[in-house]
Amino acid sequence: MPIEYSQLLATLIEETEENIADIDEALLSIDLNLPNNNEAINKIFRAIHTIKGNSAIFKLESISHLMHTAETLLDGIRNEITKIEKSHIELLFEMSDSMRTVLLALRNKKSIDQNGIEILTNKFQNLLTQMESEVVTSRTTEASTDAATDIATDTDTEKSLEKIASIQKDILEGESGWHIRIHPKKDLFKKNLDPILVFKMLTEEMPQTQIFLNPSRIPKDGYNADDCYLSWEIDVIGEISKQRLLEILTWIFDEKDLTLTKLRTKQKKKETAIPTPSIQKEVINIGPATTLRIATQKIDALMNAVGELVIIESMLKQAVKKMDPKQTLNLDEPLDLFDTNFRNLQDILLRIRMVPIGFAVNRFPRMIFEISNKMGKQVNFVIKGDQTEIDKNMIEKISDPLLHIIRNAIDHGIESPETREKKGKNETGTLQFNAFQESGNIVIEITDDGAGIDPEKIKEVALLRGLIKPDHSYSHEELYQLIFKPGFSTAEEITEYSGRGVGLDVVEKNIRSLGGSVQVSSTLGEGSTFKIRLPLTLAIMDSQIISIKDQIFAVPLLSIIEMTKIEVDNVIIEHQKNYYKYNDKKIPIIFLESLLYNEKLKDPLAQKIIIIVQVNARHYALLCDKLHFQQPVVIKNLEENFCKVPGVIGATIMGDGDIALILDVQELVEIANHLDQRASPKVHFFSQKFSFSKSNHQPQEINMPEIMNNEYLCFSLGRTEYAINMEMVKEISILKKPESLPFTPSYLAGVINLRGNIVPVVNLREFFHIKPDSYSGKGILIIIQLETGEKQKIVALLVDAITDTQSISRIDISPIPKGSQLLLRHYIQGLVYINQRIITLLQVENLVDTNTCEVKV
Amino acid sequence: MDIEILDDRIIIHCAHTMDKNSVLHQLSLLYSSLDANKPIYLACDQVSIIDTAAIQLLIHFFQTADRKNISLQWQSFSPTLYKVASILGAKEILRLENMETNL
Repeated sequence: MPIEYSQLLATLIEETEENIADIDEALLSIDLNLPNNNEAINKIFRAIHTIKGNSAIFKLESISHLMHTAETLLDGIRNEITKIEKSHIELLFEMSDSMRTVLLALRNKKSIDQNGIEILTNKFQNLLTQMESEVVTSRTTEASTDAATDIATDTDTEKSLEKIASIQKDILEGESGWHIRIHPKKDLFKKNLDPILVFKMLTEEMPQTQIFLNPSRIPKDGYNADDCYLSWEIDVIGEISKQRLLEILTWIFDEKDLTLTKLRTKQKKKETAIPTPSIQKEVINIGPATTLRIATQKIDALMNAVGELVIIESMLKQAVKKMDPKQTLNLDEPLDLFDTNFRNLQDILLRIRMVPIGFAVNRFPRMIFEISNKMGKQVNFVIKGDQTEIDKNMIEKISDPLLHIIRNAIDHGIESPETREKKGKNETGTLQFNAFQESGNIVIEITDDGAGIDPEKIKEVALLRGLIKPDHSYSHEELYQLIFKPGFSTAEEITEYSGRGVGLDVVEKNIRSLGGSVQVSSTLGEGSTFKIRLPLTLAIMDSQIISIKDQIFAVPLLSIIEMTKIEVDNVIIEHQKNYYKYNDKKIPIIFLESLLYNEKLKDPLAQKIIIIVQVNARHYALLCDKLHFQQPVVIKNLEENFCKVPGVIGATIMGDGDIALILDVQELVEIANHLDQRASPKVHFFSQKFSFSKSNHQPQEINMPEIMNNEYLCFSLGRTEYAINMEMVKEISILKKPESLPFTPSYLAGVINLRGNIVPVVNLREFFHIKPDSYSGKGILIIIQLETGEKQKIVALLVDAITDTQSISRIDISPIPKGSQLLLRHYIQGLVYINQRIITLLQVENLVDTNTCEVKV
Repeated sequence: MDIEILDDRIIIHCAHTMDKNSVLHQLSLLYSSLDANKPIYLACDQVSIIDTAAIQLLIHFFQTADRKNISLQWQSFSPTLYKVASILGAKEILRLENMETNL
């Protein structure tokens, strides 16, 4: 199968990111006081060399040129033409920063800042010129070779240095490289594979590569143009790893068709030499590859497929339960076996997605080096447990929050060397990153031995901002959690890095969006620890299924401490607020029914169930109607077709096809606390922007040709007839009972399960305030597909009935009468008069703008 | 691909595209030119797309001509053809070595 450009580019970006991380790591390990830093320099050289080759393949010439210039400088350092200096390190850091920006641009399909690259290349070029002058000076003092004399007269700096490096290398070491024999299978061409690309890649990355085609397998008779008879002998001269060679060649060739032989020649090889490479041969048998690079999307697709199987398994079990037990006797064993094997499959799949957290931590040392340098602080960064594995998708989302915490720790935690000395501490502070698995979760601890957090100071600020009550006592843990409140900062000085109180709330929000939590502990004068707890994976969540009224919900087990039937005697009412006596403490009760449905409690309290949860170091008692069972649920993203719903992580499809919303316990607690402080508890959290954008109230130009007819689907809402463009209609369906969504406007009837898709239902009667207002429970769903940027969203419109379809041309459409409500005009394209019917054409894009939905508390 | 038969030679005018989809057709044309027993000249300066399957075909054509003692040489070739032959390490076999000046 031919490899798509986008796939190759994604691989390039991923590899380059790894190479940049390698460069940073190696740069940080350089000690200018040492006589040599060969290992680090070689590592940087190799990474730059790989980036150079890869960029050349993708015609990123400016990048390739930049890398080439940097590589030449490093080659000069490797060959002791010049010594590594601080200015070199700084420039190389600048280069890796610049490359990160380039990668971001490539990832977002934006153009690269060519000017910036050119400036950077010139900086390297200046260093090279400086290096050349050093070479010329030193040459005059040596009894040098003729070759060196030639070089001195060469005006092309870069070439001169390359020559010097090459000659010195040849003399000192002799060349090294690989001999590759390629015997592709006959069906190479049939598979649409062509080696031109990989050979081009190879020669661009390793310019001294010599490729020799061997035509001996071409038959004299019976030549079949579809078969490949060619084989190749390739000499790759220079330093390149076997892994890199295989990476390049296996894009086209089967690994079994390759033989790689390491070359270590003692003498300089003639450029025209016939491939008889071996003076010392070390034949390496290529076994099966130990790693395989797979696009995460493919793994996600596999995970989704397994997720569907979870639902199907659940369906099967429910079906079997309903059957006569005598009939299901024979099914028990195979079902148990299926269950065991299926869990095994899930486990394997989860492990495939796991990568060492070290991938996220790699770039931290660099940042710590920079910040601590700029702030005049000395920090020793210790990494523990970097091999702890974490879901690949999670690693991408956790990096920034971790970085933020680390930045804060250096800025506000670790003191200056002078202060530390005065306190009797070591001048160099220690910042420790530790990751480990605990009870099926990933725990990340970031600990500093700095000044610690002063709880009294937090209390002072929190009181000033009205975040806490003066007459209430708070534990230190509760006070520490306040630093995650938006805009909260006790820092007296705002620095480039932190202190504005912007960020820690985002950190906490991001961690929570991953189903995790963050807790702070601190000892004044000794330091602080941020403890982050995350689930192992983002795709499946262990949950407790509960019900409130008749609706099913899933509560993540990670949040739950205990579940019990309510003991009414333990309910305490103080100042019109309900508390529950738990472990000799009174904890706030949250009535989920009232919170989610804005309704007063109907059933007697004695029938309720209490779920004890911990949020921000405080316990809460959530009240629900029933506990059902525990099961892993597959998380379906509501944002896929809709928006973020407050208090809800996502949804899952149960065994019977019903939707269960997965509750975000922390957010629910926050909403409950927020409502508690308001005079009127009735609130929904969507602004009107969900349905329209106020800045765009002018009727839009009808974008269709004058004569060409468009098909419209007509439907009724009460006595009025409406129509929408058929191009948007995906299907029409009889109404399924939607599962209601909390904190959303009344025109959102809820969500339905459309073959595994969670689709929001917009009740158009409610939307247009057509009487009766209440949702009738009957109707037809028109499933429409909306283009929102690059994504497509599916939305269901609830209407009374479908009337017919009409072919309408622009000329038939009359503008809506002047004086109509401006808002109404925004949703309406125009009116059509057909056979004494007046049909209102709706502008659906304006009706449901899922892009602009906002959540406001 | 066209074949021009002159009194003293045959000129094969290569097509703009020489790839695996067209090689079968080209193969039969090339072989028919060998039957005339005249020196063959390849005029391939219009080739702008060429793949490995086509290079293999050209190699086979050179080998067959050699076996039949028929003189086969380049009248012209495009930079693309030259570049692809270089990348695949087929310059020598296709007798394109040291012929950069003909480009």
